Amino acid sequence: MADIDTIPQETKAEIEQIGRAELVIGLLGCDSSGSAEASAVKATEKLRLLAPDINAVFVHWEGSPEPGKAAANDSGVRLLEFPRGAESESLLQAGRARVRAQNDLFGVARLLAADACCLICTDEQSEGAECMARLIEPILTLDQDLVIARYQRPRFDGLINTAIIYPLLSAVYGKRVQWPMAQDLGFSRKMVERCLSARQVRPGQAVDLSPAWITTAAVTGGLQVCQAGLRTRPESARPGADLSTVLAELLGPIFLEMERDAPFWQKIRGSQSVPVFGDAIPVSEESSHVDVRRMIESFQLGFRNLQEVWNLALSPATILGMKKLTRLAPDQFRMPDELWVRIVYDFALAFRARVMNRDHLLRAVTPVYLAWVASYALEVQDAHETEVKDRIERLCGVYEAEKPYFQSRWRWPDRFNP
Amino acid sequence: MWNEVEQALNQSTTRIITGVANLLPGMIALVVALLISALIAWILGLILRRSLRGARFDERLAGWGLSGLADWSPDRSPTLLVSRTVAWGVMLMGFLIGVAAFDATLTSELVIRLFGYLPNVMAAVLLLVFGNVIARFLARGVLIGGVNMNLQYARLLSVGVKWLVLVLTATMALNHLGIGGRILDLAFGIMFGGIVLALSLAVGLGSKELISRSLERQVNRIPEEMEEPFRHM
Repeated sequence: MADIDTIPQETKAEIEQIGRAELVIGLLGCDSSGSAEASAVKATEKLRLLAPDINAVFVHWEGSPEPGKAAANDSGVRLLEFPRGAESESLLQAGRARVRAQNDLFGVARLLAADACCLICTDEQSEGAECMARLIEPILTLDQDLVIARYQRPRFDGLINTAIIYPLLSAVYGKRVQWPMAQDLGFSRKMVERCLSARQVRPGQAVDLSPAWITTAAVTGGLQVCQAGLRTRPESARPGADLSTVLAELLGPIFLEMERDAPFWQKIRGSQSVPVFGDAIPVSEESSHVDVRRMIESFQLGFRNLQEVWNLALSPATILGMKKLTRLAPDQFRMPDELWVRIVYDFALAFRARVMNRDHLLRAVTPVYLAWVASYALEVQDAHETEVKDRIERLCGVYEAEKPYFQSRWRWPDRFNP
Repeated sequence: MWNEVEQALNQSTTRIITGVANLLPGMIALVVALLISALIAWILGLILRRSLRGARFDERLAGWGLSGLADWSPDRSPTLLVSRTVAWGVMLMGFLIGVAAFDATLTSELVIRLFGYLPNVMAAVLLLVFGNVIARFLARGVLIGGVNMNLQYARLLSVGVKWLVLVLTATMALNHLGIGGRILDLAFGIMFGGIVLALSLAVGLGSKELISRSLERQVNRIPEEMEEPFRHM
């Protein structure tokens, strides 16, 4: 049990002293033990409203922790401290730190035989408590195994998720989870065991670094998955990070994961909605005109220069569709969903077939992705919230409709090339 | 007089027949050696082709970033390239063994010289192959990176990088073969220095405004992007 072995001896001794706890709560967003303690106090108050006799242990990641400082402190909350990974701007390194934190949390939950545990990434004390309650309640009262945060989304926020990750994973795995990469998560005991056993099978492999790994592990394991409406979404990378690097570091592990889970998703037809608990918290947004000229120029520059790269990944019909796009005037610029979906599927297939260096391939997605963003921005800039939602669901429908093409080319890459 | 001519002609004929008779076993030996080596080459090529296909050599090579090798291979298959190279190598060995049947001294000298030079040839070929692969890999990386940075001259940069690596590789290969001697070093030094000098002059004088405008755009790009309403992550 590698994950439990990594827990320091002093912390293990503290856990043995505690004996058992119903709940283990990881406070990943708090950067000091003071704020962690304050958050834990708030969360305990909230928990007592939910279940008065519940026994909870909090886990916190500190830059230089004091091992064994787990005993109940002045405020009466039990707080275990673990070393925090170095702050990093790289998504892969951040992914490794997140995996380590999850392993610590799962190890503690297993040792304490906890019924449920959750990981909270916000550093706002009151929001953290609210978030925790929403993530825990479906597990304790509705027998759910994994609760995934469903953040409120301004129309131009989380565009990689909107364009690729949400619709792609919904179509491929058959469960419509709106934020499959959410970092605020609630786990049942069954889910903790599933994560620990799955990580022991392929320890330290790149697939484990996929930000959507937990969601897909629950879906492939046939566990009960639901979503909890939350207001804030934690920052996952520095805002000025290079887009092509972000795309490569996000899509690479997800494509690898799809390769691993191919026997599961090849049998999936259509997709099911996943229940949402908690009221949706609306985000007020005014319509605003956006300037997408630079994105369109980037796409046109890419089309002029990257055809030799795209030709290796995309079908001739797709290239032709892109050529038509380059001739459109900026205000008329619209990328058909069918074209975009074929592009994403073709890149996933080319990644699997290793038609070229995988990093080069994933970085070559950037100009096409910018073209999609430009087209989407022009479409929804004046749209109401429900219209934006419908627009995204329409895109999901096209991903599902085109899945047979993806499956056929996955099974017979040489034979099927329309 | 006539008798002497006849005698000389007889002697010549005898010499020719003796020569042909001496040559015939050697020729037969050469043909046999070539046939046997062809058979061995065919079997070896077949085994190599099957085992490399079984090990998915082509896909693995592409995964290691050496997909450029496929462009230089028959039917775009590095497996075929390797198996055919080995097969032709065996054929060459068979030919040398066959030639040894004619004149052992000549062949041994030829073989010694050839084998002495062979490592240089092999190294030069390897240098050319890997140089080409590296040049294509770097050129593609620069091209994609340049396009993603919105550089209008991304292709120019990519072609420049490719040819720099190719010229460097070709020079190293010729050096290994011992062709060109000091002239080659001198020419390479002048050319490389010339390119750097030309670039420096272009930046310093000719393209001063172009470069400054480009740098200005790069500097101003960051705040512009921060003001965008788009959040990709």
